[in-house]
Amino acid sequence: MAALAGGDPNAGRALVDAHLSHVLAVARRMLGDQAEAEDVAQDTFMRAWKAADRWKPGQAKVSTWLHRIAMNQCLDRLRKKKPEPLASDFDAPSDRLDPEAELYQQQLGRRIDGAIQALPERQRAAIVLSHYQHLSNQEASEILGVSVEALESLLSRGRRALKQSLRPEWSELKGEGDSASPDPTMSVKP
Amino acid sequence: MTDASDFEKAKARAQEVLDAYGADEARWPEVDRETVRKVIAMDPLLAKRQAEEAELDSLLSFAPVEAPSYALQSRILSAQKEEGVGGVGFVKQILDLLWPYGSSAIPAGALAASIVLGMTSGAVTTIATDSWSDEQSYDVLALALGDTTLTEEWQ
Repeated sequence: MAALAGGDPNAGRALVDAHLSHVLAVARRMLGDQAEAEDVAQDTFMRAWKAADRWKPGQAKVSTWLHRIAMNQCLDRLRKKKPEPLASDFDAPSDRLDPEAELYQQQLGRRIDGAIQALPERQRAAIVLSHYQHLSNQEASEILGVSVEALESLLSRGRRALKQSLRPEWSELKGEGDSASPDPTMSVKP
Repeated sequence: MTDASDFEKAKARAQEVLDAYGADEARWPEVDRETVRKVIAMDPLLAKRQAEEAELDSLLSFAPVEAPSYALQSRILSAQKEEGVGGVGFVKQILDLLWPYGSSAIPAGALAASIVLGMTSGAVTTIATDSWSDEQSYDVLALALGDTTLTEEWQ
């Protein structure tokens, strides 16, 4: 970061090489849109470069700092956006006649992505940071500006909601026919 | 505190950990990992719960994200150049040349402090003119006002 603050272009490249995939993944999972996620990734690195001379090594890891910049941008964008309907195939889990396993996985992936996008943004952010980005609970709670207990509550509610909305896919993967049977352990708390 | 109540507490915490972090031990908080592992090994219901969470974890892994493209990487690095973000570094390099002993805030602060001190002392300090004669006072005033007609002593 010191080299970056000193205007070293190689340091900028090294930062992008090391962290772009993580930043892009956070933005993609939060926003559900690749093009918008790429814009967030670009803005994140621009902000990081501009603020590099203010970064203090003892305060946070570079990765945590970048995650926070990216997450804040995503939350800002989500708040400005009007709610959009889910992808049309999200509620059509029975569309499994396609013989190609790859295509099936893509469809399944889109449905799971749709379920993640349907989560309230704080729950989604907690799941993205903790589950997908493998950040520690300290790092994730710091990025979201909440206590570890609050983070765990967001995670629990997020996972419960995902179980509820992905029940058909879950049954599908387990090879069960009746995907509509209610499961009392899966009550969703908004 | 009894052993039974400790175990119940540990079970409750294991449940919380499974609910929040899922089945994968790598995602559990490090501080809880060992205890939760032991409690699950002793409690079949928690073990069943872990298996259920593993199914959700597995399902979530079906939603991969695209790796960043070379085009995106190039776009970001080009934007860095276009925005002249390195300019911040250039200024800092100059400051480092002028003051290579650490933060440039130190000489900047010293300069600001000396300016304030100078202005303050100028405002509160008076020149002792009581002992001046009328002629001396007149000459000083004449010099200050640009009057070049001075007494013989000054010429």
